Amino acid sequence: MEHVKISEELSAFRERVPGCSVVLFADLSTGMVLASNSAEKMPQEQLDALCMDACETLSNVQAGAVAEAAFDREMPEPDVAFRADGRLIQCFVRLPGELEEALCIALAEAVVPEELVDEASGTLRRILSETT
Amino acid sequence: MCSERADDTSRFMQAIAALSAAPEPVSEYGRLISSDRRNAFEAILLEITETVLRRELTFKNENGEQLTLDVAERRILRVVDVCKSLGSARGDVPSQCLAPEHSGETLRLLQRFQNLAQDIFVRIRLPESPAPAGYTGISVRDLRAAMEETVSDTRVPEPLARALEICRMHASVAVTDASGGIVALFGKEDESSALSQVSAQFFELNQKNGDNVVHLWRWSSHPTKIVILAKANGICVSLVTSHAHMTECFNQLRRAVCQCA
Repeated sequence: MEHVKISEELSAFRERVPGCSVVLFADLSTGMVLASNSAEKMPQEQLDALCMDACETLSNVQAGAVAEAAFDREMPEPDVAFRADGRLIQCFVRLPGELEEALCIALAEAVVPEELVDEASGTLRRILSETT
Repeated sequence: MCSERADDTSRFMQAIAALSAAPEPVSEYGRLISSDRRNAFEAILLEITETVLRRELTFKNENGEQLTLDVAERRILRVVDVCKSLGSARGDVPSQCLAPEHSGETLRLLQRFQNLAQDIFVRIRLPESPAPAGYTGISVRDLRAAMEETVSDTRVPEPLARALEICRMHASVAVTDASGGIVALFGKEDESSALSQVSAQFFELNQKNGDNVVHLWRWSSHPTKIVILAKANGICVSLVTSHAHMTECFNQLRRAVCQCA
């Protein structure tokens, strides 16, 4: 029942976000993909790779150094991270204080980061309220 | 009449300068002004800004490398002496009295020195030689203007330079080259110069990210500060902006990175 609900949330999320090729719900503490929804069927390795990118980007030691430089003090891990190159945008979102579960998104189109984060946070909040 | 007054002022300042004792150094190398490479450049500029009466400022690092400037009225009049490791950078700066048109070369010399080591000390003494006649010198404002011009430097890819013109209106920005050398700083100096060092380090340690990439981080505990790092064709950009300008800065840099790829 829970899994159905998560899948529905991910599917609805992808429909609401133009250009979203894949969205997955992951446990960053174990690096496991818990559920996913993609425009085309994707091999598990690609989903795992996106999950690993989330772990690296949100929990990156160097990201900690960047934060320390920006805020002039030790900082917790960030809740939101984006990584974009010439072909793809990745977005990783956690809820404040929830370090384990994250929503990982890959898009091919330009985005409004703020709107995407709001959308992802809402989806994640609903998923977590269902699973806890 | 005006000329006489100017002569009097000049004589008066010379008399005060001669009577004023140079501050005593607090260690073998002098007074420690920076122990963090991230703040070193600003610390050097601050020493220049605070020097009104003519003095020779010798900046020295823990390796014994040094750079001596003749400074008066908050302006660099001459580069008196440089260590061997700055030899090639020294070659571009004229040995005689400096003028604002030499700001670019002088800026690069200071930046090269700043990048040599962590700790920087200063020792201040009275100059032995008389002040160059009719000097203009280089002010800290001239150096900052030179820094801004370097954004249109050939090292900065054009799409990135265009994006920076917009981002710098809303953010504290540091632009560095692949080795971490500062190309330009904009906005709040403490934020941008602190970021300038970590950005090069970040990209060096995360090379799998490729050469043309943008990163953004947001902390719920500090929602007003967004950190963005970008790299395009070997040039690193790091900036701190507000939540309100997150989208514009991110998309400007992303577009630039796409064009550079």
